[in-house]
Amino acid sequence: MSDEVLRGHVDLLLLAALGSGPAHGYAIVEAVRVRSGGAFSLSEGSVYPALYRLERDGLVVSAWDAGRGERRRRVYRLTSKGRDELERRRTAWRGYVRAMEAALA
Amino acid sequence: MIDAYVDELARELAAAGVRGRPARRLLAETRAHLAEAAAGAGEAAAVASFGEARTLARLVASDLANARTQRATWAGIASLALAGAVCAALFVTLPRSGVDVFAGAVPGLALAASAASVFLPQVSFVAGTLALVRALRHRRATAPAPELAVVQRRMLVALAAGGLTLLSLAALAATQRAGLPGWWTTAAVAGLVLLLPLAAAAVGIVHARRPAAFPAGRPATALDDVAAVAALLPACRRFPLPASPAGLAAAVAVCAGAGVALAGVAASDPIDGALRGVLEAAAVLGCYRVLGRVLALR
Repeated sequence: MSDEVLRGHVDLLLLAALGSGPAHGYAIVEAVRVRSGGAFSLSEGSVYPALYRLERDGLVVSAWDAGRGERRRRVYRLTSKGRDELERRRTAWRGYVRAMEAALA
Repeated sequence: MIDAYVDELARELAAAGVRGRPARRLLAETRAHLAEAAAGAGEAAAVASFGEARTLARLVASDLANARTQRATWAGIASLALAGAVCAALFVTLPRSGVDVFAGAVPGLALAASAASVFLPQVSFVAGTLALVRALRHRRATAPAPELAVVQRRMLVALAAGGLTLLSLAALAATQRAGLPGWWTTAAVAGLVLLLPLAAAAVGIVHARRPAAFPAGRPATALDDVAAVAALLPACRRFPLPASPAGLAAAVAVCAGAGVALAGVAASDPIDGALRGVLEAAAVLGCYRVLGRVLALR
């Protein structure tokens, strides 16, 4: 899928990836890639500004893990507000997909 | 290769005005991410998948500039509201009979302070409102650089005018203390403490200007702000909007002048009211002429 199309849905994809549990940036990118069957390949660096934005909005929180040097990673997890937002966006997206499928049938 | 990429990203972040903790955090996360990706795919593939350093740095700078501008705008509006409430209370309780604007130790100071205490709050109110409207229009999405610059300039003008209003009231109290009650002059001078939150908000705005937002371009004008507000108010949709910024300024000048003149008539002084109305309309047009570009009114 093109970057243009994907860009508008990055926040939802990140929230959904974190819906399975806390993860660091690389694991989030991998989760999106695996869950989409390889169809969604995010520009990996752009995930971080999106995560910072979600954190500023109070949808995720993050903390450094116990590793050292290059092994030290920042782990992100959903807040309760983030979980609510994920459900809200999921519902809206499913409604949109149903409507599109009906319109295109 | 990872070291070279992280160094390049550090340079690009610095060039885009992203320094300190946000830069250190991104660089640390980038290094950890690339190390993990390289373990499976090799360093070259990991760096290629991560994306161009300049693009990433600009993305981070834009996000940071937007977040800081939004935060500083709300802090500025809060400090202006506080200062505005104090200025309004001082203005309403000012005993007009105790003021002789042609008297005082420094010739002309009382007259200048008096005029400033009338016009500057209006400049502050209009600039602050326009900044808030523009900030609200961009609160859900990342605004481009010229739009952020408009919000920042409007807030700086609003804060400066608010601070000068406090100073003008204190100057009025100092020059007219012989004819004014002691509690009023004390309150006017004590109000200067509100310069601190105004200054803190101004520092926040200046801080928000450091990360360089992208892309560049031309900002929208005040007509777009008015159209955005009118779209939210059904009653406004029945009235045609002015076709040009100058037309909008003229309409505002006529309305403001008429309002002041009518207030004068209501106070049983039609001649004085008419004179004040003309002065008000002239002041609005003068502000449009002087501050029009700074406030992105035209």
